Amino acid sequence: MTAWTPSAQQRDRLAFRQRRALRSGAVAAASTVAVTAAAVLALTSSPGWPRVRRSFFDLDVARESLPAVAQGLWLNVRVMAGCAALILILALALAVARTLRGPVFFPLRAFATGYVDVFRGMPLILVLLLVGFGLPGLRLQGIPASAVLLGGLALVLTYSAYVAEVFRAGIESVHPSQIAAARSLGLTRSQAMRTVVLPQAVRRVVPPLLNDLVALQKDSGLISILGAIDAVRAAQIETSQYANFTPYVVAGVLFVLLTIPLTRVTDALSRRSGWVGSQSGLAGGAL
Amino acid sequence: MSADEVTPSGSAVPLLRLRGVRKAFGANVVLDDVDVDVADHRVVVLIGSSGSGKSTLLRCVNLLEMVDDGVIELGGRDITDPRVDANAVRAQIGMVFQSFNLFPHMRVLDNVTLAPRLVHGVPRAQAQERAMEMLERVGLAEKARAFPDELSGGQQQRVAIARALAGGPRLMLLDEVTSALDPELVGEVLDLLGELKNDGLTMVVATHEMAFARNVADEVCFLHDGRVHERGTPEQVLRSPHRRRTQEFLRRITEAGRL
Amino acid sequence: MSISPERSQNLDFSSSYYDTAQAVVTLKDSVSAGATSIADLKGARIGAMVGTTSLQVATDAIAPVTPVSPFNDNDQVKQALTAGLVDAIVVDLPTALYITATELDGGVLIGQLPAGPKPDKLGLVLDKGNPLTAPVTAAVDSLRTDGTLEKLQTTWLTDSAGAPVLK
Repeated sequence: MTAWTPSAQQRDRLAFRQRRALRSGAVAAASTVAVTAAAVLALTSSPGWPRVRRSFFDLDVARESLPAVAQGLWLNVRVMAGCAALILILALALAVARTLRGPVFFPLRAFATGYVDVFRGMPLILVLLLVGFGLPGLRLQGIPASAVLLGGLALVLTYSAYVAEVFRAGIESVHPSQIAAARSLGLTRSQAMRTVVLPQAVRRVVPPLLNDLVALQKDSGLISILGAIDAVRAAQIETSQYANFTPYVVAGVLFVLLTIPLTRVTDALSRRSGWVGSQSGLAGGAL
Repeated sequence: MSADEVTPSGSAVPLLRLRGVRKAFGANVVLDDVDVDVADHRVVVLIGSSGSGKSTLLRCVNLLEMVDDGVIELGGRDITDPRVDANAVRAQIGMVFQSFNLFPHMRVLDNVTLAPRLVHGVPRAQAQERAMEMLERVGLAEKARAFPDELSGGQQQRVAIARALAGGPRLMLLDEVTSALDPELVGEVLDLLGELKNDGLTMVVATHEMAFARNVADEVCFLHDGRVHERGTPEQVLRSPHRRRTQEFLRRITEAGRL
Repeated sequence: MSISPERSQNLDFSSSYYDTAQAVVTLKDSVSAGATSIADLKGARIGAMVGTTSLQVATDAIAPVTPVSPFNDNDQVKQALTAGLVDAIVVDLPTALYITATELDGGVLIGQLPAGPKPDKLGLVLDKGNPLTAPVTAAVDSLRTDGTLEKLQTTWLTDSAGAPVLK
């Protein structure tokens, strides 16, 4: 094959496109600068701006309150991580329980269905109050009266119901021909589930799961209702101490900074090849 | 149990025998009193229009569907008996599907070693050796580490065949295995099946590829209205069919250019 | 009634006759039931209402090893105590006297905490612009200077009420 060099016509086309791209880039940059400048100007020249800045954007208060809020955020992170692991396990068990067939498994299926109905119906805050204040009141052996553990338990109980439905949708989205192929090789139902269905189901639902994880990170703060000090509660305490709202802004910024890596990871994961993310989905012709 | 059990009368028991098989889906009777015999090392080809029950028949043999009536015997044993372990039966039968159905989250080699390891208890190293032999056999050894979505349709189907063979089945069921392939890829799969027949593999093949039926089949069964409407050697059924419906069907196939 | 700037705009207050103290309450089967000093409380889990003097005083005066657990309101503070989420709670003294007498089953008032920098101050209320405000204020002031107020407090609001000042 001879080496190809672009013809004069193609060179003209390239040059035109380059000039046009440069021009568009310059316009975009200029308009961004202009709009930003206009927005900042409008904000800072509004009559209430000095007071708002003092109340919400006081740098000294921000600096003073940062350690306490950051420590609260650390609790949020730990609760989220610990609960996420337990939620995944419990939710997977519930989802699989609902797919079991055979009369002997009826109690398990019924329990799983009932569980999901109840805990998707109850507001999380109700579960927190019932579990956090009610459970220790039973004075049962071995129930720790700790805000973090009880609050975490409430989070696990509630979120597992939602995540179980996500898993179940994933399991049911695996094409029956995959199960047919697995069974026709001689695999039992549970072997087919374990090696063929679940791996595909889990990969499919990673994006909605990561979404739930981001939500969990915020809801993790609700355990503060039981006395634990998370980022928002810490900000609240600092706020009342300084009579200034800046700690809330600090907490907000920290939460956003925490969420951004999570969303980037979601995007990256759903694009990776080798996972069931390629356009055709399953490797099969007539699907 | 050996495949060629000799009955008291002295004749060999066919490897696969269907008697009076009936299967309906709701009001739709797909199979109605089907009789088929498949002797060891023979290739029986099923032809018929869509909906004539070819796929259903194969799925019944593989116990993926429960028959509504009738008996299916594998090696002389009634496999439609509910007391029979269906998984064990399926482990002895290999099936290949129209849509390949490879497991997309596993590499080609793992697709092929899955059943030997989990169902037949073969240790991993040995299973991989045998899998590589199978892949060599179908001409795809160099794709062992690839994922299914990196292969062409014809390659995927050949891997599917290797996967079905890896368990050392007594019987292979092939359900329209070339219907989803581009025409230029059909040949490589059919050639492979011809080679497998020469190796002595017992097969039941549902297909539209009449040339394949003519060259490779030992017996052709034309399914119509849920029954075997006509059966015989390829010459008998394809070249000079007796019954009107068979002739009509073959004429339609010729007009579509598939004969 | 507690003196506050907002209220002072609409009402007249005498000078303050009593600074509200903060008190520690627990249950009789709690680990803190036998506490007699602040040191006894350092290892306990303490609860108090967020955004109040109680929380501030609890943190400053007791400085427990586990940070004080804040709750949304005094009802939940009480629930936390009965549920066992905390070993002892800090509420203002009048509330403490009330809940240990009536609301809490097995409630025990351990004692008062030393006053913080900005305690709630109670004053007598008169109409805005009432001519009696000045003489009433003078009366309260004289009760304070001659030690009557302090004597009343000591008699009724500390040891004899079962609320010794914890040290």
